[in-house]
Amino acid sequence: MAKTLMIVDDSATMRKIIMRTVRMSGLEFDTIEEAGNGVEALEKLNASPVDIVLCDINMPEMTGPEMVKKAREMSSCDNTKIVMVSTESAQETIDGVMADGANGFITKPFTPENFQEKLMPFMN
Amino acid sequence: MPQTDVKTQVEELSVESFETFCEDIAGMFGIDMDCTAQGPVAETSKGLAKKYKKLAALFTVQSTGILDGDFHLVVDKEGLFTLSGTIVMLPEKRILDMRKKGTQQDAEELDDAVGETGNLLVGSWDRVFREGWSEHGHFLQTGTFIGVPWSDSQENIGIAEDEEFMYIPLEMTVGEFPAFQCGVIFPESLFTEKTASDVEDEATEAESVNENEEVSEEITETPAEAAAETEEVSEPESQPEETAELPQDDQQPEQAELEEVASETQSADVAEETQDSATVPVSLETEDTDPGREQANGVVSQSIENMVHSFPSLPGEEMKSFLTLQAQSVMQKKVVWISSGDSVQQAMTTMQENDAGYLMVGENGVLEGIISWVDLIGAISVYLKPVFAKWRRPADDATLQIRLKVIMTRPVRTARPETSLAVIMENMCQHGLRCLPILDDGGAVIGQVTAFDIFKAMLNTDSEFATVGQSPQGTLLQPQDSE
Ligand SMILES: [Mg+2]
Repeated sequence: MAKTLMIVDDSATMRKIIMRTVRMSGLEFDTIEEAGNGVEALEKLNASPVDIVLCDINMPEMTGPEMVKKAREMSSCDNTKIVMVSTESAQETIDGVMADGANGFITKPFTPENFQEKLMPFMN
Repeated sequence: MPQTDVKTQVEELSVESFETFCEDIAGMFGIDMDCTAQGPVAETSKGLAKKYKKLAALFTVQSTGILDGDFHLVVDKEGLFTLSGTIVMLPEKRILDMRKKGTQQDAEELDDAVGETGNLLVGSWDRVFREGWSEHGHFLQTGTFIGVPWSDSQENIGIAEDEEFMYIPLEMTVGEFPAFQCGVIFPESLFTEKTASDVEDEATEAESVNENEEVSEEITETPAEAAAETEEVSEPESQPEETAELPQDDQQPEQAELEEVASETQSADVAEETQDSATVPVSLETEDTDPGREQANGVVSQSIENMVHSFPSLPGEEMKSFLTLQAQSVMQKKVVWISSGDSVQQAMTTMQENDAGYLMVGENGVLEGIISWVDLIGAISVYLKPVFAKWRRPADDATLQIRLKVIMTRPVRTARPETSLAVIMENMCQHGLRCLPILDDGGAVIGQVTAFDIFKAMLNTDSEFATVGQSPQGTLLQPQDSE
């Protein structure tokens, strides 16, 4: 069964770039949702959870790491994989958000292969 | 650390950061990017107001660690529209228009893309400083200003009009667009000595930071390219309109065409065009082969383009697995080398002797450029064709002696063995390339992928035209005595 995806980033430009790169990676999703910050993402996830969330780190309203923590408290997101996508590349940032419940980390700049490699394990 | 050492370190890492940004964007968007730094100068807002007369984008960066405070990255108007337009994939013509006539309002309409350009820029900076300086803490983009920041510089960049700061200017190029100005503004307050304990605290914090995961680039530029002189950039030709929107499912015509190519093993179009370019010898004996060949190549590129642009909505597992094939599974391992000091005539002979359509130009495995048969034909005088023999002059023969370094294509776009065909094809059509050298981790050329290798893989056949396609030229150019 095809998977569902949500892209969470405060930049509409970046959401489009991510969507395009995901498509170029050859991974197939049934639906691709978008959200502009953590609050909006959590509301949408509460109403209808998705399989994979691609989540920015620096966002207004609610940052990515805050969103990950909250999502991990929601039963609707029990099976949701959250992969961070960010220009932040400090190991401590990556370790921190992984410890809070993220399932993966993709650094910007990224390529279709990065998505293929990081998301493929969650596609089955 | 003495203040002068700090400044030297900052200067070196700043230049590296801009270069890394160019590599990052180049890899992510499949474009050529380059920058050339000039040395740091003491500057004032008043002085920059003269350099950046029109609107500019100014990104404020909050720095922690040994550099404690704000600094600013600035991009001129041309750079603002070129970078933001490129990341939202505006048509080239539109970007060129806006570079000339773009207004504050035009820039503000792109504010999200401008801000994201800053985000990527600051991301590259943070990575370079963290890897290069243990005392670096963190860079965070805290603001994006679009306009003329100098008139109220105290308000906009926190620097009084006459206050001196360290400014490092750079010239940056994106694809075929003319170069633009950018730079970094470091207020002197950033370099004021900190107490030993301050530095120690931050150093301890920074030490816990491990080497971060390196993001490999799909399409990289050769090391030699960094050394290449800045080339004169010509105005790009206008391209067919492309929208910033993502490929939608309603791209019926393209999809239909692609399905045709994908479903029929030997689609008439492809077979015909490929055969044309493979069997019609491109030689000076054949008067009209040049245009014919270009046409064939044009159609080849168009087919790839159609396929690339519509594959997100493509049905069929076959095509999907084809697009995710890696370069190493389709590449030709044999590549032929020639020196940049060799002549066009030597290159033609080498191609024919080796049955090669492309030559790697360089010494000792260091790739300086790439040469195709079309490059060679374009370089020599048309009067070398037998039909024009009676008008042939020594100057025409002299064109056979043109050195390859003058006409070779550089920088060379390259790919990694693990790069997918999807990415390779997109790069090929975006840049009008028909051959991408494949480099290993050490930067050594280990093979090449041509458009025909891709067709061969797509058709999954060893049929003659697919292989013959690798060598576009037919008969040897016969050197003739001039009269
Ligand atoms: Mg963000």
